[in-house]
Amino acid sequence: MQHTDRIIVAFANPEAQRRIVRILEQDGCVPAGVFYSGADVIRAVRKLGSAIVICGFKLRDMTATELALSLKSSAVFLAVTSPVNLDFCEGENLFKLSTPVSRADFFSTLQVLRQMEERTLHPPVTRRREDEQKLVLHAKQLLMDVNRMTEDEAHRFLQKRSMDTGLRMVETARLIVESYTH
Amino acid sequence: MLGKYTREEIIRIVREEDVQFIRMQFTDIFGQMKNVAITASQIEKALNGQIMMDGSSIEGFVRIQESDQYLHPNLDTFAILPWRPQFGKVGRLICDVYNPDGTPFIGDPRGVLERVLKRAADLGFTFNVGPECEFFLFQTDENGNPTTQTADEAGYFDLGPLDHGESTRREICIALEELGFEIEASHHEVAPGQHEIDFKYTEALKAADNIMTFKLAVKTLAQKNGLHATFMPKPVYGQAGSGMHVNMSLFRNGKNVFHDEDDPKQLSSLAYHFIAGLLEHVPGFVAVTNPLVNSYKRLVPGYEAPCYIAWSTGNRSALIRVPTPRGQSTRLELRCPDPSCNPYLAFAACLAAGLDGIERSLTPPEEITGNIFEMGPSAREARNLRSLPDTLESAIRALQADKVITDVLGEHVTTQYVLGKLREWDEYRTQVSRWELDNYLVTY
Repeated sequence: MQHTDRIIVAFANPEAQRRIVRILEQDGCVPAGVFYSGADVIRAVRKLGSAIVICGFKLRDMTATELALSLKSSAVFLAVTSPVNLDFCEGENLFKLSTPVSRADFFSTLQVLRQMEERTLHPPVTRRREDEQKLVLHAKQLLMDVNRMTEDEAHRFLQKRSMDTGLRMVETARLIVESYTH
Repeated sequence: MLGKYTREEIIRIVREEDVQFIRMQFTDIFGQMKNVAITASQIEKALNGQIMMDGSSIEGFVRIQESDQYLHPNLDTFAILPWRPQFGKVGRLICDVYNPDGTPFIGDPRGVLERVLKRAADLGFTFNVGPECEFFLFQTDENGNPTTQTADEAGYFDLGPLDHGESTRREICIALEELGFEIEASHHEVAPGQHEIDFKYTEALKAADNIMTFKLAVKTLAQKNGLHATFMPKPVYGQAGSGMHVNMSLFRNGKNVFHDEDDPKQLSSLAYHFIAGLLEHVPGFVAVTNPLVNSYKRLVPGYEAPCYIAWSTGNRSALIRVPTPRGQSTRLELRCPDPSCNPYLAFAACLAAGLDGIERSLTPPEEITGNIFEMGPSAREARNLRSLPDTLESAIRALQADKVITDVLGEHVTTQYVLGKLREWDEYRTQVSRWELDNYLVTY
């Protein structure tokens, strides 16, 4: 199971909370946190960095809408509640499921949220190719050896030259290596 | 951004920025922010000073049979609150409270400060204030209610992963800068969960407005981050409390009149008279600068909070400290106030005390250079060092006896303030505390 450490369950009602936790655990999924208050959810999400929050329409200290707004850039929400209460739930990052919920609907929605959380809250990091990485390291080493820079200074020098000239850092590194080796 | 707005500009901004609500804010005698929220369609009525409120529902304001009061907005205070949703924006205007006959309400704390600032202005002075506000960020319990628990293990000036409130404090600073504040410093304070934000000095009325806005920002953004912010002076026994040191200076024609190059300490005679006035009247105004029962739990030895009436250049154990910078930055730092105070009344009392010192050419005692906390009773007696009032009740009695302070507050504010505070003291002193149970229940 992916992301079992980043699902949070938050309901004001202990019985509703227990029901959702049971469903998740039956599927092999262990929530990262189980709470009654929005404040606890906020603190937990800040520690985790991002999360999927399964909640009711209202927590003990705030509404799901308020909570979703507070965590707009770090959490996606699934509000599970009665059809009437779902009308009170709003948010760009808030999905809704009306009770009674089927297992199929619940888990397929959760899968969608997992993908959203992965793409939106954890955008792919551009990684350099291995040969480009070696080139940058070589350039830094030359700056450190020849110009007596520290590693930090060499890194900042490459960054600044790249920004000033509009070249990618790997291109700046190539120019430095070529200058020093010819 | 805060700035100088015309009436037409405000109406235009409200329309163009799709502001949905405007909060007409004012402060009651006890320093609590109140507001009347109006919809954007009422903005012209608001700018005409036609928004009414029931003053009898505000403690210390008016009686029910004279309760209609009007809110007159100060256009320069218009702002869009940055922490509110960007759809359905909320604006705010800080208001003065007026009577139906168009006269200023004498019980409005903002008006109290405005009147003494006018007195200073008639003498050619501008009164500038730079506050240093401390506060705690605590966790909440499973029901979202505040506790005094913190996950924070950091200490003074700590930063990095230990400082769990750092991101909240950073968010607060960003929001305040969006509102036009100039933040001079922000750092973790001594106690776990304790933080400080200092903003640049400005003219006293604006500084008081800023403090009210600051407290609103801190509380709101703490809640948004799942924390509870408190300006309670001493929430945890055995830890440092939260103060609000107030840096003050007088200017005349753009020049700081506290500075004199030829003086050994580079302080002018006006500065010395002002210091003397503060020292003379501090027993009388400490009920205003330190308004809670709990305020006096902070003013005890051992935590860098002052307990004795003394001044010093550089010595942080004194009530009034003169920090090192001179020239245009010459200032006096009053270290007893705490952030639960009503800043309008606090600054008014300080200015009145200082002006009295100037008008009567009072001379301060010798500065104290040693650590006052390390002096024994006989050493303090030899230097004639008096103590600050040590309870809210003794502070209120001292207030009642100080004509300079009661005059600046005015009869209405003084009467209502004293009544409210004595009621608070009475409620407190009749409570049976945990300490009493722990110490007496079994022994007796």
